[in-house]
This record gives sequence, structure tokens and C-alpha cells, in this order.
Amino acid sequence: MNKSCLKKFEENLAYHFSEKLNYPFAMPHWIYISLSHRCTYNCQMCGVVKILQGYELPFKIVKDTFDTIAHWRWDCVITLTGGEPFLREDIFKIIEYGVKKKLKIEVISNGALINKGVAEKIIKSGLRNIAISLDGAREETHDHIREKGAFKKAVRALQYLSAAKKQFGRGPQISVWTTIMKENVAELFDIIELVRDIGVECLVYHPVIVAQDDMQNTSPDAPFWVRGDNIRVLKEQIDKIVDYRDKYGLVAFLHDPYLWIKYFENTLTKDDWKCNPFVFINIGPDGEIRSCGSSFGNIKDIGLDACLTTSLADVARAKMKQCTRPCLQTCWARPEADYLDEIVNTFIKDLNQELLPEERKRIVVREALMLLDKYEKLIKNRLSLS
Amino acid sequence: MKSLSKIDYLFPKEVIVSVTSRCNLRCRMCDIWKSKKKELTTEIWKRFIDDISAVGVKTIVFSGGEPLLRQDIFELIAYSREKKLNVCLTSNGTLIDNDIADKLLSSGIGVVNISLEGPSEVHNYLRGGGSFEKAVAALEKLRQRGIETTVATVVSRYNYRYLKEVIKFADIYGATTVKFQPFSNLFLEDKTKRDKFFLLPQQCEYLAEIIESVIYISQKRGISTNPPSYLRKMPLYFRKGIRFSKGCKALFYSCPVDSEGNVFPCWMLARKDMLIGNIAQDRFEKLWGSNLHKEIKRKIFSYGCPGCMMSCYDEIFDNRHHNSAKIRKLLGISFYQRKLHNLARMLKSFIYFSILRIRFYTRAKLTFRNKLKRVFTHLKNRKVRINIKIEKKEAERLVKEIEKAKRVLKQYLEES
Ligand SMILES: C[S@@+](CC[C@H](N)C(=O)[O-])C[C@H]1O[C@@H](n2cnc3c(N)ncnc32)[C@H](O)[C@@H]1O
Ligand SMILES: C[S@@+](CC[C@H](N)C(=O)[O-])C[C@H]1O[C@@H](n2cnc3c(N)ncnc32)[C@H](O)[C@@H]1O
Ligand code: SF4
Ligand code: SF4
Ligand code: SF4
Ligand code: SF4
Repeated sequence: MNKSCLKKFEENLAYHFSEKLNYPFAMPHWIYISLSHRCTYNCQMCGVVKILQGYELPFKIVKDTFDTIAHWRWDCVITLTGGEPFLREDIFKIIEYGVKKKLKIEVISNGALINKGVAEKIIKSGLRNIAISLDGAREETHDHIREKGAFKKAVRALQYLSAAKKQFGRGPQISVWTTIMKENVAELFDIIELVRDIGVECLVYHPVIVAQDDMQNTSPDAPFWVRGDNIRVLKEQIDKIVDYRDKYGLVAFLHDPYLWIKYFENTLTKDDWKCNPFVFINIGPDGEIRSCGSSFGNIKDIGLDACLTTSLADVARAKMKQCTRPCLQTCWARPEADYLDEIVNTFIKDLNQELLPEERKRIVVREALMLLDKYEKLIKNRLSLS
Repeated sequence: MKSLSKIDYLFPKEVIVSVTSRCNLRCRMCDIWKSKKKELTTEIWKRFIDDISAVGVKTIVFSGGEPLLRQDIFELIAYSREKKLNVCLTSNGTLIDNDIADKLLSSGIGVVNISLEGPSEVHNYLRGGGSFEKAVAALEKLRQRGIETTVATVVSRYNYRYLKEVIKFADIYGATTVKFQPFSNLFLEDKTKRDKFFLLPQQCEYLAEIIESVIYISQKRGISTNPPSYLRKMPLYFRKGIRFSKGCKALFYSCPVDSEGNVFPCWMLARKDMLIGNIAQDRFEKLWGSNLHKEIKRKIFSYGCPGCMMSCYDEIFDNRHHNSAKIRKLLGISFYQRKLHNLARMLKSFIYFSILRIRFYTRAKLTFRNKLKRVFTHLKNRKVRINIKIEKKEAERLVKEIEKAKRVLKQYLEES
């Protein structure tokens, strides 16, 4: 356990009450920054290249945003994405600045521009995680979705990365991201074997989203959607993947994989998976902050901090709370902060596991009580006013 | 907001166009020439002039870059005059010889605005050798031909001491107006240059004095300048920058167009995401007041804008800006006096609001003891100014949950 149980408790409480009281006590945990919408490819399922063309976040804005985030002292992860992040000339400057500010930075890339030199730079940059998208175990599948030659480039990028990491001795986690869709359901398991041999350390699957501006519009007759017979295929694949995971690891599930089936069958509801609107933000290349498609405001105009409390943000979050069709983008949710009694139970469980003298533990519990008091007082004040 | 929406549909009174981004000078405070933007053809500008005169725009200002580098500038001026527009031209003056002055006269131009930064040494340092002599010669030549001239000055660390001199030059060379514009980052690519140009705090106080004498001299000599309230704001601008503001009237009565034909809400907001449209592709009446334009204005009014001190928009300062006597008073006093002043003000407002709140709390029908208790709990909690919206029922449920959680934790304490 690397985070103290009190810290975890505090964060979970913050997320819980942010959601209940509609006020950002908690800062977002996942911050996606789309640095640019330029891309080397124009993949079929991907919307980013098709909208907001021509925008690019200036370095200065990224820098200010990093400063703000560093100032929060909140446990959050910044994911640099795009378009293709490595198309930007100043990408390493950006990473370097973030690392200097002690932020956790990850990059998602399609691997097209990662040659040997770039791979070494990435490994030495201080990143936490580098993810390469791989949409199939076979060349034809991946190339059909993306572009001819894309598979070879992605695999080559992974090889360079893992070689460089071996040589350097340490560096970011090398991971692969796979978008689950009709075209590749049958190959999901095969991807494991492929990437394992290259030396990838983590594999993440996530189901395709079809709607671009509003995640909730997921329509069952959309292209890429897994349906009919393919659902059965998906089930078999999940069985195999779960089996493999239990034995050897490598695959990281951010939620129960069997939810994918419900997702594609359109029977997924709020009870299965609930999105917490305070967990995630996405900063677009135009500077607009969005979550689930709705805008909070623009950081170019008022800065990140102010955007989190605009009335627009309230409206956007209210909309997300009423979501009927969760989109299973795992980073949107924080299931461990959904129920107060669970938060407390985890806290006590964690505390028992920690190697602390009894006296110290009692102090920790008292501090936890004080945190709860804070929220209680807030709500009671509110009650007494009305 | 209501009164704003009333004038929302109106077209602007004034259009400021940058006809080219090329320039023959390389001034230290300006990087416009670096941008190498494309230029529009004469036909498109003419069509644009048609459009704006049709919707009732009164004035067109040609700027740049150096607008006189365009061969067809006289044609455009003459065409605008034909369409009954007032025409103003902003130039650095270095290209105006007798021939060009004649051409300007025959084109029917109304006003020529020449940039002048101060005495010869300062001007030449900022704008390049020989440019001062040429600029004043241009003023002279234009006056001989009876063309109205005005002077524009960018106030920065290099020339703030010489503002009075600028007024004198303007008087000698027959200009009617001097517009002072505090240095801004707007025309710079390398935004770090700002530090070189901004005044140091101690200089700001000096500037405040100079500005008073500028106001005095200009009135005595009959030269008009920016409104006094605007000028008096300048020291504060250099000291603190502009605070985040919420848009201004400039968004309604003025319209900037850059050399590629892009229309923006105002020069400060000439950014890609604020782009209203392009006059080469759309007619003006379609752009101005379009849904996109409304949306952009809505954005500016709800999130605010960077705020600015653009001299072309200085009329708004008359009614918008702070009590200038107070600002001057503040600038005139020493550091410690100022701190004391701020402290006193804070204390005053704190006491005032505390009394208000205490009165609010004590008015309820409670025993004295409870009243006191309420006041104290209030004072203890007053930091939490978080505005949460929640229904009563939900709140009660949450409190119950929290109590339960607390019970669990307390139990843990007892057991261990
Ligand atoms: C938009 S890309 C940007 C980074 C980089 N260009 C890449 O392709 O990895 C980020 C991730 O989103 C995934 N993605 C693209 N379109 C998607 C969709 N419609 N639904 C879910 N994921 C999608 C991609 O496979 C990729 O892993
Ligand atoms: C960009 S120039 C174009 C017209 C012409 N070339 C000239 O110099 O007058 C327009 C006006 O902007 C002023 N200016 C240039 N750089 C500036 C800056 N950094 N801040 C404020 N005004 C500036 C100039 O002095 C001039 O009066
Ligand atoms: S490479 Fe990534 S950003 Fe580019 S089109 Fe494909 S999924 Fe989208
Ligand atoms: S789960 Fe969250 S992000 Fe996904 S559709 Fe619902 S509200 Fe939007
Ligand atoms: S201020 Fe005017 S003259 Fe100087 S470089 Fe800029 S455009 Fe040219
Ligand atoms: S930036 Fe300046 S001109 Fe533009 S809206 Fe704001 S105050 Fe007005």
C-alpha cells in the first residue's frame, strides 16, 4: 500500500460528498489533455480528427494548467492524448515541465512516430506510463481500422520502447490500449500473447464509444457495435482473458469485464456502473473543458480552477448524474467512493493492515472523525439556513 | 445584460481593418511583420466596403502592418469615400513623401494617424534610425495639404518620461489629437518581451504625475487626448495589469478585421476560437449577428475576457472605470501608508459585516445565551463560504449516514 489509508479516506469522502452536494470538494483524478487534434491517421471509429480541426493548445496554456494542477496537491493523473501527441514538436518540453512539477503524466499514442530515438527519449523522460493503441492481434484487422502499415508501426514502437527500457534499466510502464469493437472481438485474447512476447507490462481493454459529443447516445445500430453472434464470441474471449489474468496478470481490469456484455446488449444501468462527474475532465485542444461532452468553460478565458465551479459545470454534472446509459469509460467512475459505509469499511480494513502502533491508529481514526465532522457541519449549516 | 441585448442586433459604428501584415519598419514593440499573413485582393476589400456602408457603418480605419505598402490603398480609400465612410489611416509615416501626400489628398482621406514615440532619440531607438525625422516630416507635409493628422504613442518604460514632449510635438506639427496607448502584448509574438516594456512599480508613481501634467498641457494647448479617466488608469495598469473583466461596449460598436479577412469580437480576442468568420468567404451582414457571433459574445459575457486598455476603445473608460481621485491618492502615498490604508479598509468592512450578521442572528427570539452561542458558532464557521444546493430531505438522509459512519469509527476507538 503506497497511499496512507487516511489520505485515501479523505479523497474518497471528497468524491462522495462532491457528488452528493454538487460542489467540487474533490479535484478531478483523471485529467485528459488533448494537445492537438492533428493526427497521423484518420481511424474509422475515432472522432477527434474529424472535429475541432486546427486547434492546438499553446505551450503557455499547458504550462499554466500544469502549474494549477501542481498547486492542488491532489492525487491526479494527467493523460496527454490527441490526435497524435508526438506530432507536436514541444511534446517533450511539455512532459519535462510536468515531470519537473512532480505530476504523474501518461501519454497515449498510436506509435507511428516512435522510432528508436524517440523511444529512448520517452523512456528517459520521467513519464509514468506510455500507452500504445493496438486494435487487433492480426495485421489486417488493425490496418483495416486504422491505416495500412499502422500495425507494423505500432508493434515496432512497442519493441523499441521495451528494448530501450531494458537498456536503460527503468522507465515508464509500457502498456497497450485496445478498443473493443465488432471488428476485433475474436482477437481480444490473441492480443495478450502478442504483446506479452514483446515485453509489454500492462494491457487495458475498453469498449468502443460511438457517440462523439454526448457519451450517452450510444446507439445499438452504430458501426463497430458488438451485437448478435459476436456477443457470444465476446463472452468466450472474456472467459479466456479472465482465466489468463488470474494466472499470469498482465491484463488490468478497471471494472468487471462481464459488464462489457451488458454494455453491448444495452442492458447496462446505473446500478451496475455509476459515473461520478467529479472524477474526470477532458481539456480539448481549443481549451474547452468537457466531461461527457458538456462544456464547463474555457481555460483560455478563465483558467482551470475557475472552470470547475462555473454554472455551466453544474449543468454538465447534473446531466451526468441523470445518465441512464453508462458508457463504461472506466476513468469516469470511482465505485469505491459511491457509498459512505463502504468508504468507512475500507478505511478500517486498510487501517488494520497498516503496521502502526495502536496509539497512532487511534489518532488516525480521530482525524477521520474530524473529516466527517467537517461535512456534517456543512450540511447542518445548510439545513439551518433553509 | 438587458440593455446590452437591446443593441445586440445593431451593426458596428466603426471597422478597423488591417490590410497587410507587411511592414517596412521593425519596431521593438511590434512583431506584426513576423506573422506573414496572406492578403486579400482589392475586389474583396471593395466588396467588404460595400457591405459595411450598406449596414450603416460610419468609419473605417486602415491599419496594418504598414498600410501604405499596399499599392491599392489609395483606391480603397477613394472607394470608401465614395461610399460615404469616414476614413482614417494609421501609418508610421516613413513612406509619406510629397507624392504620397498628394495621392492621399486626392483620395479624399479624412484623418491620418502617425505613430510618434517621443523625442528623436527615443523614437529612433524604438522604431529604427531616421524614422523620427520622416514621421515629423510626414506630419508637416500632411498639414501643408490640409489633411487632419493625429498622433499615436505607445507608452512604455522607454518613453513614459517624454509624454509631455509628444504633446508639444503634436502642437508644433499641427496634429489635433494624441492618443496614448499603454504597451500591450497584443502585437508581440515573444510575450516575454513584456517585462522589458512594462514600467517598474516605482516608475508608476512618477507616471501618475506625468499624466496629470499631460492632461493639463493638452488642455492648455488645445490638443485632445484620451479621456482623463483612461489616462489616470494607466499607472494602475502597469502596476497590476488588467483584472479579468466581463467584456465591454467595444464588442458592439467596433469590429476588427485582420489582413486575411478574419473577423473577431475585438483585437484582444483575435484568437482562433473567437473567430466569427471570414469576409472573403461570407458577406459581412451574415457574419455580424450570426449565431456564432452571438455565442461568442455570450461566452465573453459569461466567462469574461482578458480585459484591455486599447486606446481605440477608450471612450468606454469614461463610465466604466474606478474613481480616479482615489487611485491617485493611493499612488501618491508611500508603501507603508498604502498597506495601512488597505488594512484599515479590510478592518472596516469586516466590522461592518460582522455587525450586520450579528444583528441578523440576534434578532431572532432567543435567550441571550443562545444568541451569543449563535454568534460564536457563526464566527467560527464563517470561513466556509461554500454554496451547496441540496434538498432538505436529502440533507437529512446524508446527516444520518454520516452519523452512522461516525458511530462505526467511535466503536473502533472503544474496542481497541
Ligand atoms: C483518440 S486516441 C488518441 C491517441 C493516439 N492517437 C492513439 O490512437 O492512441 C486515444 C484512444 O482512444 C481510442 N479510441 C478511438 N476512438 C474510440 C472510440 N470511438 N471509442 C473508444 N475508444 C476510442 C483509441 O484507440 C486510443 O486508444
Ligand atoms: C501596429 S501599428 C500599424 C500601423 C503603422 N504601421 C504604425 O506603426 O503606426 C498600429 C498602432 O499600434 C501601436 N503598437 C505597436 N506595438 C504595440 C504594442 N506592443 N502595444 C500597443 N500598441 C502597439 C503602434 O504604435 C501603432 O500606433
Ligand atoms: S491514431 Fe488515435 S487520434 Fe488518430 S485517428 Fe486513430 S484513434 Fe484517433
Ligand atoms: S457514464 Fe458518465 S461519461 Fe459515460 S455516458 Fe454516463 S454520464 Fe456520460
Ligand atoms: S508598429 Fe507599425 S511600423 Fe512598427 S513594426 Fe509594427 S506595424 Fe510596423
Ligand atoms: S478584451 Fe478589451 S475590448 Fe475586448 S471585450 Fe474585453 S475589455 Fe472589451
